[in-house]
Amino acid sequence: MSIIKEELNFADPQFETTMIPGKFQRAMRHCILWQFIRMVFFGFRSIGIILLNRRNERDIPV
Amino acid sequence: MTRVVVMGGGVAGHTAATFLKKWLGDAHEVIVVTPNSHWNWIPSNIWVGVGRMNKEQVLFPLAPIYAKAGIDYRQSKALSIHPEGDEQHEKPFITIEYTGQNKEGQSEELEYDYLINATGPKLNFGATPGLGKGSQIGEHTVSVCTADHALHASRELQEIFNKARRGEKQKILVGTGHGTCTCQGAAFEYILNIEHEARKAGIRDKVDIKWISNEPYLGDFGMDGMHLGSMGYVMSAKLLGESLFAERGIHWLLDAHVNEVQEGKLSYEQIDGSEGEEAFDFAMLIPPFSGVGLKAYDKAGEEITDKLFLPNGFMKVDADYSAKPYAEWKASDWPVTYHNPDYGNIFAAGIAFAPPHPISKPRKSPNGTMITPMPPRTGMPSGTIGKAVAHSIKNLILNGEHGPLRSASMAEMGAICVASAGTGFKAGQAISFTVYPIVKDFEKYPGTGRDTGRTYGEIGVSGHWIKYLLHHIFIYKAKLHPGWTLIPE
Ligand SMILES: Cc1cc2nc3c(=O)[nH]c(=O)nc-3n(C[C@H](O)[C@H](O)[C@H](O)COP(=O)(O)OP(=O)(O)OC[C@H]3O[C@@H](n4cnc5c(N)ncnc54)[C@H](O)[C@@H]3O)c2cc1C
Repeated sequence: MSIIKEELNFADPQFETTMIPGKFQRAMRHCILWQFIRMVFFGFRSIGIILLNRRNERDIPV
Repeated sequence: MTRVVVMGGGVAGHTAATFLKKWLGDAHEVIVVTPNSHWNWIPSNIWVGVGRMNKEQVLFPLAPIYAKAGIDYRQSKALSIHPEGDEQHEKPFITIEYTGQNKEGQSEELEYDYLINATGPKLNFGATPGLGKGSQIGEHTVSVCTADHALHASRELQEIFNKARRGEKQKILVGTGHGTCTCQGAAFEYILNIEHEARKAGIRDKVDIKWISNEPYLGDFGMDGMHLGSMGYVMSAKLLGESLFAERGIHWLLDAHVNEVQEGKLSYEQIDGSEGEEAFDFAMLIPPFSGVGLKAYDKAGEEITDKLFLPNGFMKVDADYSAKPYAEWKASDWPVTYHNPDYGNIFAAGIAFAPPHPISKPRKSPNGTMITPMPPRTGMPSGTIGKAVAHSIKNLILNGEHGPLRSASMAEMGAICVASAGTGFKAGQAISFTVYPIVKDFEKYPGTGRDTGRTYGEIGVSGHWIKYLLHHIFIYKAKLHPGWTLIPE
């Protein structure tokens, strides 16, 4: 059975309560097609933040 | 003709000056006073620091850009502000000392109608013995805060990698060099990039990489941490930060105030008062930030620096600076229009304005040492505030003294950040995240202080592509190429 090398890090008490990606997640982080979709998705999220910032701007009389 | 003087040609000052000139045209004068001859896209210094970009890729000369825009550029540093003028000057003025344009060392007095302080931080290496003197970095550690620092860091890192290639075990330490540092995000990116490069070079087993910081937990980032929506979950930045380090075998030491740096080792104090030492072969420690040390004088020539600035050197604006405990901190303590309460024609933008208090919980060791991350003012808020201040000044000039002023509170502002975890079109990674609002607002969002629908993060190679695109987009914008005003801050 193949093991994920990084999982050996769980033996270290400082790393015990963390999470480490499995093979599928690891592959998806570098899958060009999926990551392109994520980039577009993040682009929309970012536009949402920019528009929200604009909406929150107010003119305040001195 | 009204004259606006902008002190500082970084993210906030450059944004403010260029928008002001565009909106005011030739009818009014915009002067930029800044000691640097080049503009630096600071976020990419990380990549210079690991040898993946050269210095020229993150810098461009300011003079031709300001000439094209019609902005009067004085390559000089501001020394003092005289907001009431003096015997010789009816109008308020600043004193400047040239650092270039063949006038090095010459001083000048520059009158203004409106003044923007966008002088950013003084890199206060001198606050920690051994880290440096004043704003000069010492010889025991490296930094990535400027392009030159990053280039030096990259050369030192290559030496370490070469030793590791020869089989010598090396210890790398990255983090913050004082209990009151901010900008942990930059150090976080740098440590992940070093780890990425070490793995690529096949020497990861020869380098021990460790994080040291003043944060109470990983992922605090001076923002009191955050809870991020991610792929259907809401998780703490602590879990994300620790997991990224665990995956990469990077250990961490937190709650630490570095109290002295020597050749190859540093000593620190932790929040419980305990003391310790860490040895290193290579250390990149972010210095604490302070204001750049501008002085202020009244009409009679009496010093009034404390009227304009807090003791940390950052400029007082329309924030609530009254001392109160963490439990009473409110989003409304944060400034909205960034004008100085005593002199309405002076504004501060970017890192130069004095925050009312940290965002993270203030903590002291039993010995009284402050170990609290200070609030970050990253590129997006710095640019947004710069533009809002420009808007206010334009309104004051064109509409008269009633303005109105434009708001840009960090408690009503979101930010987009991309933290690089390594370069490469296919092998690179970065954490892309959005945060809303930057300053926690527990009245609106009683759970985490932020909107978890809009505070979001994920890691992948797409983050690297975004960071790389942003590098080019923001340099394009700063160079005022066609359509630059359409690119958000
Ligand atoms: C290594 C690193 C990586 C970073 N990465 C990111 C990132 O990925 N994303 C992000 O959003 N932010 C990032 N930041 C933060 C970002 O760089 C800052 O938020 C931003 O530069 C602040 O803008 P500013 O205009 O206030 O200050 P600065 O950009 O520092 O500009 C200040 C200017 O004032 C000038 N000045 C100094 N003294 C004087 C004086 N006496 N008179 C006149 N002018 C003076 C300086 O020369 C400089 O040009 C990073 C910071 C660092 C150090």
